Amino acid sequence: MFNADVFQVTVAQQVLDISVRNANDRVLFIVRFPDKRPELVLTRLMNLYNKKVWTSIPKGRMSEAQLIGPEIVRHFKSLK
Amino acid sequence: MCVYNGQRVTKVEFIELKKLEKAIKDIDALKRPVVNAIECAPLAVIKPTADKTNFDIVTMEWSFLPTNVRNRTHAKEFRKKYDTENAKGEELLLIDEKGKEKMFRRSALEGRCLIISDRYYEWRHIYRKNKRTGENLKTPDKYPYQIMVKDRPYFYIAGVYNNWTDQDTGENVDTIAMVTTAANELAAKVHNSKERMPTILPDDLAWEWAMQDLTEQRITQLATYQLPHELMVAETINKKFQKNPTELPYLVSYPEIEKLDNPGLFKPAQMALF
Repeated sequence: MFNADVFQVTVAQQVLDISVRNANDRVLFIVRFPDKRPELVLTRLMNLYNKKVWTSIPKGRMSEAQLIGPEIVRHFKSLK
Repeated sequence: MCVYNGQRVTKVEFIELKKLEKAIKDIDALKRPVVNAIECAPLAVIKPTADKTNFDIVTMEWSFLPTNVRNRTHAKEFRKKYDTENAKGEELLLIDEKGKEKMFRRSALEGRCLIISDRYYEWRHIYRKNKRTGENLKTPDKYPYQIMVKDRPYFYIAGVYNNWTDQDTGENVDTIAMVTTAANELAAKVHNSKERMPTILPDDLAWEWAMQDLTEQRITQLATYQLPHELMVAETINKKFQKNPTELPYLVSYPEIEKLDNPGLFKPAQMALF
């Protein structure tokens, strides 16, 4: 039995808890903030130019998605 | 062409994203601190890309299904009959006397991956004495433990996966087995009925396991790697922790059993993220 997939990234001097989940065959990153902001669910969409772009699900928190998403990528790249 | 969150996307992608919005309304069901293989629950996994230059983080269904399992009905029967949640590291690559490959061999060669985890759970068996005869009772008392790696918010466990297709419905899913090895000193005291533990790999070996082409000898070396017990910590937890998988287990002291000698620096509050 396992409790899987929690890690942390630091964005704007805040440590965010990130958990990885899956829904509809897509990977979701659920972000929890140390302040009172509600949870943020992130995934990457493929835009018309075949570029992967971070987005919130549902819509509306794109600026946070674009700020936190690259840190998630950086986190996993750093594991190499 | 459609727009989602300011991004121009295809209609297909747009529909997928809208479906996802609906799906995450049920996300609470996915926030499970306790994952149990019996339910074939999803595990978060690092899966290398085909060219092994990068990786994706995906979820996989826990309990390996080989390709010759035809459909979900067959899968259910198969899983009742065979324990494929774990794969013994020592036996991954075996070929039987008739030259037939064992179930995990192909995946050990071509489908190595890493389970991302922050702890695992095991049961310690304690046999009380029969007051009259002084012999052990036949049925042990079982005490649950959570086992973690010191100073690591999460760690990697070697896994092998197979991309399985239901031949009736076309459903396609990655199914995974966790690689196990002989228990180290601490894990053997906890899992004293089988003396096995997950193959937990340090970062450099984890990368090698998942991302590099390896000889069979090296695969077995890594699959049987035993994390030193000094790096691990084990704590007793509440016995009914599996009953409520949406809540983290909590630490419980059982005065009737001998404490394990595993001084650690683990701070539970850091782990209570769900």
